Amino acid sequence: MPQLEAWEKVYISDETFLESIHGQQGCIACHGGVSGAEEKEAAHEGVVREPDSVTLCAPCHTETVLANENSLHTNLTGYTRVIAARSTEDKMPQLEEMMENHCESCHTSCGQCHVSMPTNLGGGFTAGHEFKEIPPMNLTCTGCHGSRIDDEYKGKNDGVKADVHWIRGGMSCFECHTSDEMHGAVGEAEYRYDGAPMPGCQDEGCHDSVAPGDEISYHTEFHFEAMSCQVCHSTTYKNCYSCHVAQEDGVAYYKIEPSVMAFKIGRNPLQSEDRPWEYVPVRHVPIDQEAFAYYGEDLLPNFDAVPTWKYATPHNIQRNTPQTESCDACHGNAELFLSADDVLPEELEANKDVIVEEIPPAIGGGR
Amino acid sequence: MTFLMRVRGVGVLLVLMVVLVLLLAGCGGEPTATPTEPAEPTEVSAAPATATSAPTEPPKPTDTPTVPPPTATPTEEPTPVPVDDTACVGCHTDEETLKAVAEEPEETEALSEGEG
Repeated sequence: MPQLEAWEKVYISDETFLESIHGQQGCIACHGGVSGAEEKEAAHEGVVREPDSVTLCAPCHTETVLANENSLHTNLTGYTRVIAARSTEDKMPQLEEMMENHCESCHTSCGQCHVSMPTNLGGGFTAGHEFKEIPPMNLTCTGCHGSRIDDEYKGKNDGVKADVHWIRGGMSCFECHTSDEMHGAVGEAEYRYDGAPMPGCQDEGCHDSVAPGDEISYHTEFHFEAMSCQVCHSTTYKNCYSCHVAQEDGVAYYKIEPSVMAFKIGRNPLQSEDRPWEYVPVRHVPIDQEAFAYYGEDLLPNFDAVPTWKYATPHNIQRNTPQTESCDACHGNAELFLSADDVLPEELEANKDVIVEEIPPAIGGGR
Repeated sequence: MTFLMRVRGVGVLLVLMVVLVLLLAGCGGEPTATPTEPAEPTEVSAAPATATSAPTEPPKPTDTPTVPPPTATPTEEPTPVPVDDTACVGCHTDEETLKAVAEEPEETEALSEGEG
C-alpha cells in the first residue's frame, strides 16, 4: 500500500469538516497543543496525534466505546491467549515486551479505523480528517489483513479466483463483518472463532435456504454434520511459516519464510456445539518455536500445547471448486487431507489432533 | 354653592389624597430586612417542682428556622479562556504551507522481510 507523504497525512482537504459535529469540537480540545502559537514547534507542544478514544469518544458514543473493550482488535486477547498457552508464567514478562514492540501497532483504536489509516500502515487521514462511519475497507481492513484475506478475497493469488462474494457480489468486509462484531458488542471473545460462526453462511438473509435436502446433490445430512462449508467451497490459500521478530537500533522488524499455497482439510481443532464439524480447512500460521528467541531462550516451552495448523475460513469462496468436481475429488484423495507428511517433524506433536490419520475411502462415484 | 360647601369639598379632597398617599406607600418595595443571627435555642432549666403545682413538662426549645448561612461575596463562574484554533486550521487546511513545513520522517532501512 503506498504511503502518504508527511504533509498529506495531516492535510484537512475538505474544510466542511470544520463545520461537522466533530470539527466543531476544535483542534486543541482533542489533540492538545498551544492555542494561538504561530510557530510550528510551539504550536505542537504537547500535541497528541491520536486522542484517547475512551476519554473523547465515549461521552457521545458510550455504548460503542464500552463494548469495544471486548473487541479482539482492541484487546488482542487472541494473541495473548495463544502465546500464554504455549509458554509459562515466568516467561511472560519477556513475551509482553515482545508484544509491546511488535503487536501493539496492530492494536486499533476508534481513530485508526474511522479517521485515519492504522498506525502500522503509517497512519494519515483516510479522507481529510472526515470521520467515516463506515471505514474505507481498502485503507483499513485489508490494509492490515492484506497478505492473506485481501489476496484471497480479490483473487490476487496466481491462478486462484476471487471470492464470489467480491467478484460477483461486490460485497465489502462490513456486509458480513458487522459493526457489532467489530466493536465487540456481541460480547467477550477469547479468540476469533470463539462462539458461533460470525458471520454464519446460513444466517438469515444469506444462504438461509441451504440445508440437507435442498436438491444440491452433495448437500447431504452427513456432509453438513461432517464438515464446514469451506471444506467444499474454498480453495487454495496462503500458509505462512517461521516468522521471527527482533529489533535493531530500537526498530522492530520481522523476517518470515515465503508463504506456501495449499489447501488442506484437517480434523477440527475447535470442535464444539457451535462448530460441530469433524473436518475443516486448516492453515499453517507463522509461529515457530524460535519465533521470539530475540527476547529470551526457550520462551515457548509448551509449544506443542496448540496446533500450528489452525482452523481456517479462507476468503476465496466459490460455488464450484476442485472438491466439488466429483465424490472422489475428496474421497480417497490423500492430497487434500493434512497428513503427517505435511507437518514439520518438530510440529508433529502440536498437530497430532489435527492430522487426518484415515481419509474417507474412494467411492468411485460422480455427482 | 355656599362657602361652607366649598370648604367641605376641599376637606374631602384632602382626606382622599392622604389615603391615596398611604396606599401608595403601602405598595412600595419590601422593606429591607436586616439579617439577624438566628436566636440560639433558649436553654430552659427545669424549675424545681413545688408541692403545690403539678409537674409540668419543661418547654421544648423552640425550633429555629433554618437560615442559610450568609454567603460571602457571590462567586462568579470562571470565564473559560478562549481556545484559538485559527493557527491550527490555517496551517492544516493550506496545502502549500503544509508542504513547506512538513518534515518527512527519516528513511529507515526496511528491516522486515517477507509478507506481513
